Amino acid sequence: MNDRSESEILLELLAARATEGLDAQDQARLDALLRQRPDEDDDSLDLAAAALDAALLDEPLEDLPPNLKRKLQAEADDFLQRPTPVRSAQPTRSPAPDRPRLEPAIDFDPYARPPRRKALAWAGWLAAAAMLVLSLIAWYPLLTRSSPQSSAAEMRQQLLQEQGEEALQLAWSATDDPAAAGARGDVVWSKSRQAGYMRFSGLSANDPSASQYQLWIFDRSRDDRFPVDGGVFDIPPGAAEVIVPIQAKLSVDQAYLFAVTVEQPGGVVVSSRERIVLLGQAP
Amino acid sequence: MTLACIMEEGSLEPAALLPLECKAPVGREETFAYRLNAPIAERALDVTETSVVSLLGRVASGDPSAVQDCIDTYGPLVWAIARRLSPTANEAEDAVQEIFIQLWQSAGRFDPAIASEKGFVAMIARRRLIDRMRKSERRPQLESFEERYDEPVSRHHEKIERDLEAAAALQALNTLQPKQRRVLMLSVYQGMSHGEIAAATDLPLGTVKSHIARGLAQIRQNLKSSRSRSAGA
Repeated sequence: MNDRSESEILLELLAARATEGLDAQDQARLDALLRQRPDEDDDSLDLAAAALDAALLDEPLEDLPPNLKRKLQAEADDFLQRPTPVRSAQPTRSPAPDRPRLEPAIDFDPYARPPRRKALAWAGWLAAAAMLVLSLIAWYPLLTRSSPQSSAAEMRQQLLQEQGEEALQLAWSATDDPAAAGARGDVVWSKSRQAGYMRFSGLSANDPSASQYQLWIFDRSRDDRFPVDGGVFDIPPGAAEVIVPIQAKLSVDQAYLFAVTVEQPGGVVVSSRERIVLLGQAP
Repeated sequence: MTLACIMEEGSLEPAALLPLECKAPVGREETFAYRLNAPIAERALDVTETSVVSLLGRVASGDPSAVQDCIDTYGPLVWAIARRLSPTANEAEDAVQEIFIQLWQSAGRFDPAIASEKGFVAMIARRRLIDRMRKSERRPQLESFEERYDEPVSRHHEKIERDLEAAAALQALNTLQPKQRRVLMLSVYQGMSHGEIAAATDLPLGTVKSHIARGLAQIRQNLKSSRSRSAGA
């Protein structure tokens, strides 16, 4: 493939994504090429394949099976019960809700079981409240320790000691983003604890009023296009080493790629991927 | 018969489709007999634009009736794609549920300047189905094309209304070389992997990838031109 132009490679990767999907390695290559071509319409081949597919369908189309239609109507009712911000996630010019870019599954879990019945909603809230109380009791000794950084460092170390080889530990790879110049460190993640820590040295300090770092976790058991939001964090000026607890918004079953991006203050629901600074990828 | 649409309306002659057999993927010999390098009849462009304007916009704005309308309007389309690209009916049903939830959540990102609603919905459906295929490593069992040709002729009389996108896509398909067209249809319509197509057609994998990429690029160009003409009209 060395003698082929980057444009040809990009075209084939986009075509492969539109027809058979990409593995993590090819997805990373595609992402890298698209970063070099911010004006490239990376959905156009998906739309071309979709148009051809729809054009070739036999008509008249078969109606949905009645039982499936009933399920969808129940899903629709459940969807309409959800908070408005989720439904009206920022309209952008992009026609691609589904493309393999850094879009966190804030509310949408495609592999989730059918929606719970409304009658169970209160039970869910009560269970969540009980879990919160139990969590606070269990974590109280750790929460009351003196220094946040030393606590994070100790907890990271403890996680590594207790989880041993079960904990995933990946070194960061810096991209060519200026903020990542000279950055090093690693990310530790425990599937059983659903907890982890990021360690950084050399990553540029950020001005929280201008931008913040955000972690995204790619999970093999989830749609690649919807990495889990791992939390927003800051790097203070002058810190030799910073350890940040991961705050995954959803359960992560098979993490294989961690990506740190630079986003607007408060983080984003959909990353523009304009600034990916660090990557930690499982072999 | 899903290839009915590539035959000129009014033409009932399957013989117009030049048959070409190619090898079936391992384990799927019984269900395969490809005849996909037939010339595609160019479709008239004076077709009806059938997309429902602003339905997804209404969904994005939280209109409860729009969410239900979405099921009624696009359910058959999503079901047809899911049924074809899923190994079983049960998996197709699961996929349809995932697709609709995603569609409702993504409705606000639909841009009519870039695609039709139908194309947007089909894109979401395909992406989810491709993802499911990759994760499960199970491919759909395909119907025999022979069986399709054996279907009643009256089937081909059915009125098919095509939107401009469909017409542009089929027109582009018609301009491709037979081998390129066959490879593209095996990929897009049959959902075969590039490796399976290479094995089935005896073409090198690189050639298969190239045919698919250039075929889709041709369709993309036609879609763009069609949209420009439509906007200028």
